[in-house]
Amino acid sequence: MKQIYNHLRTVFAVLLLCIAPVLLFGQTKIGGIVTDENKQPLPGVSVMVKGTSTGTTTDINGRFTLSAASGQVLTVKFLGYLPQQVTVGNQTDYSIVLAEDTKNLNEVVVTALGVKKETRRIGYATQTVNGADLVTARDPNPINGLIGKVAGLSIGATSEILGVPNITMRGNTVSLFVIDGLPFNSDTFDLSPDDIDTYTVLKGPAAAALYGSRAQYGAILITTKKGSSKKGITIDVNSSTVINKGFLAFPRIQNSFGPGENTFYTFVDGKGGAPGGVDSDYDVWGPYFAGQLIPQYDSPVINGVRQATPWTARGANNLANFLKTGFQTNNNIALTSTGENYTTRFSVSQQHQNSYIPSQYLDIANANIYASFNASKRLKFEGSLDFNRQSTDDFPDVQYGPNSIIYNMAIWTGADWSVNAPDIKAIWQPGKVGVQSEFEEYTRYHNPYFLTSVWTRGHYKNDTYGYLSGNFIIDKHLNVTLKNQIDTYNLLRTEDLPYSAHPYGREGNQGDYREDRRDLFDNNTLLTLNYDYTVAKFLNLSGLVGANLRSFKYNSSWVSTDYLNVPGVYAFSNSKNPIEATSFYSAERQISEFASLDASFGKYATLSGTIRNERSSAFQNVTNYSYPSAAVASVISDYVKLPEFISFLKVRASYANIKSDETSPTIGPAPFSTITAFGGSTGASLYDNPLGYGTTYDSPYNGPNYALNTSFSTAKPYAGQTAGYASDYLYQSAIKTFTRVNYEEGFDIKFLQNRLGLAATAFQYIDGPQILPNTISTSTGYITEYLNALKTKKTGYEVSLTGTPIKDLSGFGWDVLVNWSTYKDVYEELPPGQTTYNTFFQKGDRVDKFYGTAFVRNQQGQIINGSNGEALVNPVPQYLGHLGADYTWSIFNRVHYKNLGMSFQFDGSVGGVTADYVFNKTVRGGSNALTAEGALGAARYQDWLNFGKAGYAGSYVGQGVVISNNVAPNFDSKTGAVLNYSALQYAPNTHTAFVQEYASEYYNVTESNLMSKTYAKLREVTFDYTFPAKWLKGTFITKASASLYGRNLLYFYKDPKFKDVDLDQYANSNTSLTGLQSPTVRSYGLNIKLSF
Amino acid sequence: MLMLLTVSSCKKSLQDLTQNNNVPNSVPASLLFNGILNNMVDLPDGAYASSNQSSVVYQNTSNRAEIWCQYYIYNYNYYGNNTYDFDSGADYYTTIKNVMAMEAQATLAGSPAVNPYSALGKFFRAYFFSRMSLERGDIPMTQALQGLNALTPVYDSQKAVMIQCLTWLENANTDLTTLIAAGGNTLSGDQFFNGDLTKWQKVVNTYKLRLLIQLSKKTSDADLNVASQFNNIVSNPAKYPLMQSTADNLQYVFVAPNNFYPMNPNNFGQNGSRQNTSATYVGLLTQFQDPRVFVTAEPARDLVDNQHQSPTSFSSFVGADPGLDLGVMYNNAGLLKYSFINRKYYYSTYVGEPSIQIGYAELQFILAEGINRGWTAGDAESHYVAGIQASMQSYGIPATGSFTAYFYRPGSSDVTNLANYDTYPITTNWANYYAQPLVKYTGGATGLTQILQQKYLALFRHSGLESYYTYRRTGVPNFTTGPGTDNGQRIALRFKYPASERVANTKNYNAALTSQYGGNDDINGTMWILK
Repeated sequence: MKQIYNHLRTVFAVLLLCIAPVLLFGQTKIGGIVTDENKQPLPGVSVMVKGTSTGTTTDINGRFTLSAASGQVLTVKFLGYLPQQVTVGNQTDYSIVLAEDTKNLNEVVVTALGVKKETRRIGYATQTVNGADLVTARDPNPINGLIGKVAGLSIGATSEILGVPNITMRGNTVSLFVIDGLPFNSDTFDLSPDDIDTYTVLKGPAAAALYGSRAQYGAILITTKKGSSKKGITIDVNSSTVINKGFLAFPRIQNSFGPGENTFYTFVDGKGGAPGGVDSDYDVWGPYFAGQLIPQYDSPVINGVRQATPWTARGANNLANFLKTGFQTNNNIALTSTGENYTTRFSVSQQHQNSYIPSQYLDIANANIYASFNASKRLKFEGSLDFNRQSTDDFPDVQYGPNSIIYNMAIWTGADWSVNAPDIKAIWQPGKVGVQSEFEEYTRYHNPYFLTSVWTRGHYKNDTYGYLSGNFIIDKHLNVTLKNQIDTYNLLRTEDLPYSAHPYGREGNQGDYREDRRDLFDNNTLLTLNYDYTVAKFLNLSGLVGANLRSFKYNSSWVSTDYLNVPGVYAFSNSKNPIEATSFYSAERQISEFASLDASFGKYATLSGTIRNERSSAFQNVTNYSYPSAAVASVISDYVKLPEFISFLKVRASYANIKSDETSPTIGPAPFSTITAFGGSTGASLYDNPLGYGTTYDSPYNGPNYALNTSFSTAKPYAGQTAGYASDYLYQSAIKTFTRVNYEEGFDIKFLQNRLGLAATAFQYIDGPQILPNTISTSTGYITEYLNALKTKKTGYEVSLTGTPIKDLSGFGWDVLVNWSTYKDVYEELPPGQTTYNTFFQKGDRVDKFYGTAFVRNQQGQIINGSNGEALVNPVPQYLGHLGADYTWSIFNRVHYKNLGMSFQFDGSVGGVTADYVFNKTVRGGSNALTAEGALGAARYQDWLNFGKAGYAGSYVGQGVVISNNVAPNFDSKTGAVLNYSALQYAPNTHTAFVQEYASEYYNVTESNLMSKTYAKLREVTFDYTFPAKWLKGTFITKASASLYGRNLLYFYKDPKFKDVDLDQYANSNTSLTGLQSPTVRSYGLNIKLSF
Repeated sequence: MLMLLTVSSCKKSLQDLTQNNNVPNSVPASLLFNGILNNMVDLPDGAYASSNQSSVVYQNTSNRAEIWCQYYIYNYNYYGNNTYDFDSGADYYTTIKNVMAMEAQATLAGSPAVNPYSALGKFFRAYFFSRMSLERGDIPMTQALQGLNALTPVYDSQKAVMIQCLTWLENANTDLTTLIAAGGNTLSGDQFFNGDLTKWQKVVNTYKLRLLIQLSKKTSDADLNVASQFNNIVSNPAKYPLMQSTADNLQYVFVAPNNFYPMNPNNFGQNGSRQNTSATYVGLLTQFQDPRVFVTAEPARDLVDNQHQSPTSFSSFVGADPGLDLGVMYNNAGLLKYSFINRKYYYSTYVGEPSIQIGYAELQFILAEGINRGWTAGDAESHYVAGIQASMQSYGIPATGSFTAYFYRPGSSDVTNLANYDTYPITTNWANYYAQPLVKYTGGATGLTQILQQKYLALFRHSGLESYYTYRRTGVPNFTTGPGTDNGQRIALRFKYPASERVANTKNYNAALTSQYGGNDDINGTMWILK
């Protein structure tokens, strides 16, 4: 520790000394700025006085100063741009615009640690998206805008407020966000899209190796806006207004039969238990809506007797009627001021989102300040501070359970009550406000208005991050940067559980109040020395050496009442039983040193290498590890004469060997919880949910998970007495860090003067030996052994095609971007001594093979039914397909005519399967439309007609056969294979069954809920118009544009049965069961951009 | 200026930072003891007190002991079913590891080699190993529990396990005798007996008799010596004290607000109608004109309200055949054609009745069975009678006198409100009850059946799988099968091995399957003690 500090002190001292003014001598001092054709400043441009050795390079803002006499000629050169010569005149300020050399196409991208490099010199895959492209057709979550824009990057957008998208790169969750060079713990809502200049996706570990272990799954680099190159003051205004209306995926509900069991229903008190009442916790297997008279929740009670009232589908479309039009506004004002020696930018953003679920909303406010100034020609200071506040008093919890509107409105209650009825809208029973809600059931289900406007959850998160840095140019080869960054958040989540709410585990109906508080502080101090030497004409060496110190602290607490004394007072002092609480503390320190070297051999090739050493406390003991990476890039078209139509050809390859310590990218509310009072989970995990219901919020963490620390644990299983338990984990001695080896090969080719470009990448990952929590024989006394074992191998391909079919046909142009990617992951090496892993998997198997329950079939493939005519289920799970997609694709088109543009994007995914949970629950519960249609519906009607008739045993006859010779099938316990097929004789099934029983059993088998994951979306359509400059002449407005857009417009899915789930959320995950989701909606918006 | 921002504390070394300070690095033996006690119990309705260290799991559908004993069965497939589709059974190895940790912690704290924790440690070993073997057959024992030193333990034969468990129980008794004689020894963390070692000693010996009776098919095995071991205990009451009354029961007492009875007012709305009584249980009670039916069950309302039968007529109590298709059963249940569990007794409070793990009534039937089988001398009938009477007393049924039956009134809306129950005085007369030919002990094979039938009735909602094991070795009472019980109309004979054995202990697992069950982890395979 001390050593590092001494290092830092020394460097700092040197920096201070160097601030001494640098004397200028000789001729006139001139200055200027070099930009590209888009007015973006170009740093690192060489500016030489022709015929002399005097010269300089532009700084990060594209600015330069040097001394030259009038009449001398400046030669301005930059790779990828046509050189320019400027004759020095009388003025002292020059604005030089370099034109792109289209033959020698060259882009500059941001790479690890914010280093800008020319793409031609990069040996690994990256893709960059302009921030501006994502704010014209914006999504409430800035990252969702990246959907389909980058090959291999997949974003599982959720339709929920505060729903964090699942961001995966080549199948692994990306957990590293980097803002302006340093890692940032982002929940994706804490980014202000208006302040983002570019997003650069570093796809593989070679690209991100300088970031160390956190980069093993790639990284998303965000470069913020740094102000304008134009001197003076600029004001930019961006405003969007969006409405959400129209559903893409919606539960398919029947309105023919009401709630109940076995076609019977009668309301007693809505609290159930009494057989024959069927008025609580019921299914939607009740009577046919025929207007017959049945006592219902709102039937009048006369002389203590509840009267029967007509049974009608008065609540058909309850869910759709309940939801309203969503609404969202975004406004941003950014002010930049640029002077001779400084640039500043102030930006304020505001977002308000009113959900299409009544009462629920989210506010986000963001303030960003950036400032830089040049203390001298060689010394530059920069600083940035960002504050982000997310705030809502009421956001939804969609997790399956009585807390979810889908659970309450689409799955478990029927059309017998209406969401528009005044008594339902009144929420409370007359005279029992705050104590007893009004609904048609009081055991399991909830009035949706009660659910959304009284039972509320609050989310308040403050994110503050920023940095200060100083850059000192030692000479034209060397510069040093010292940067100190902090990244911190505090989070408060609350839940007000009112009286008469009864989620899982809280059936006492007496309310609760809970607080989930989390504080994170992360600090990085980074010192880098950049160098750039041209050793000989053909050899250039550049790169950096540096060190980083990371200090991390995290504190959280989760506290809850155990029922309330006084209804509606949400305070811990109001707890009826003793308060339940748990807390968590963690800290980590990481000391890293790293170096990189890019060696360019003239026009032939660039060899790059990086190495990073890390010393981390997030392991069993302090651990040291290092990871190297290497890459090579060669632009063949530079030195080989290729056919005319090929304008550019580059080949590249890279290798990286990443290690990682025991950290977790996210953390839940109550790590290592011992709270058992609410029926939740406890134990050695960062993700315990102390409650028996609801979603837990995983916030960014990147701290130690303590998985390798053995410990005792405690709980209070009986009467509040503490009980202890020894650890169930074993650890291989001298356990080592996780290893990931990555190889990547690719080429970029451009045709026809770059009108058509193709970038293709192949990659291979060998993950392992991992730190594997391996299941061991419990007879050892332990459940899990942590050891270095298991290798998986992932291979994949990514293709990105860019084209300009029409470049400029009298003002008309057309650009296309196509992304395509695929990968598969297989087991390469199982833990030692094992021939199978995870019960079914063998070496060479895909890791995403899906095993689930399946029907027993005879050798002809027919379903075998039991003696009651219901399908037999194999006792051993069977292989049903693979969970991952075969490939994903996207097509983005942009056409423009003069100032008018139109763009649209289709994207989707092909292959893979999963099980549809909404379908499963709605069919088993009787609310799915399928249960009232066709043969099921006809038999269901018969079940109703014949209810209670002696001897009636259903009408539905399931497909398949029955065993006719009374022989029991025997199953192989490992494979589920029928061992005695030859002894079985079959006859067609003729047994009738009740529809409720049949459907509930049949559709509880995974095989019958299996859905294909092939789908496509019309993601966005944008019309934009840029007001011609001449119109704005004479006004104070310098630039103005407007766009009209729609997002999430069409959802294409083949089987209408499963169109109750929007696969977006699951497309990139290997989830074997979808969850409940709010119906996905279309968005229509208007965006206006103005500059002053 | 930049340096000022570096707020990192350097007070702690990197090595200090590796520690997880949120959890303990050791806990005293008493806490481990309490954890073990909570792991050992089997509660009604498939509830566990604590199935493993990490959670208190209620309503775990994989534990359907009560269903498989055909007592109170599911009618609603969404919440469960009555199939004999056994998966892997209970896994107590991690608990036995906690037993070892408890012993180690007691020694670390300065206890002598023989101390209350070590004495009960032997009992726990016997208890947990024997239970796992009863479920599966051969299991790892001698090479088990060695952590990294033996990651793939070989299986010991069921016979070896049983011999070892009986030895542990013998040693536990010896140690407890010594500790009790020395005086001043006690246990902390004992939620059952508050540290009273004499009560634990009775549990140890009673459990030993239970284990011996479970080996009733192995009387010819000279190494086990079942009959003489049984006789040795019964005839040496000073050396082997046994439970003397229900006050000696090892039982789990439910307490509010943390440990509710699995059926209580909070879940009545969900569960109250989703299970009904089984014909196996209610059929025996009504056959015997047994007053317990008025306490544990309620009449079928259809018979009372529509067919106008008397609510206190035995013919009004009807259980469902567990083999029935659930769709048919659910329809019948909805039409109120079955008896449901008594709402007053089981649902009206949060604490229900204590759940007996090892009890006095069961002991009396074990003694009666042992005498009936000729393992020891004695009066089988007196134990038989004592067992029945202990059971009846636990329900508040007087031998002769009267008590009140409570039946929930249809259409009522509060299960806790006694005004919602119709009450009926029930008069009982022990002499009349016992005079019934089906009840009066007759000795011989019939007498054995009578003992086992009454034991079955006494263990309603108690002692986990005990009644299933009794059926498995004796066929009493008659369990029924059908589409509702699945498994090709068979009552499964054993549980599978844990899935982890197949993957992580493959060789030994396969060897155990080959030597016992023809290479298949077959729930219909016959284990050694049943041969």
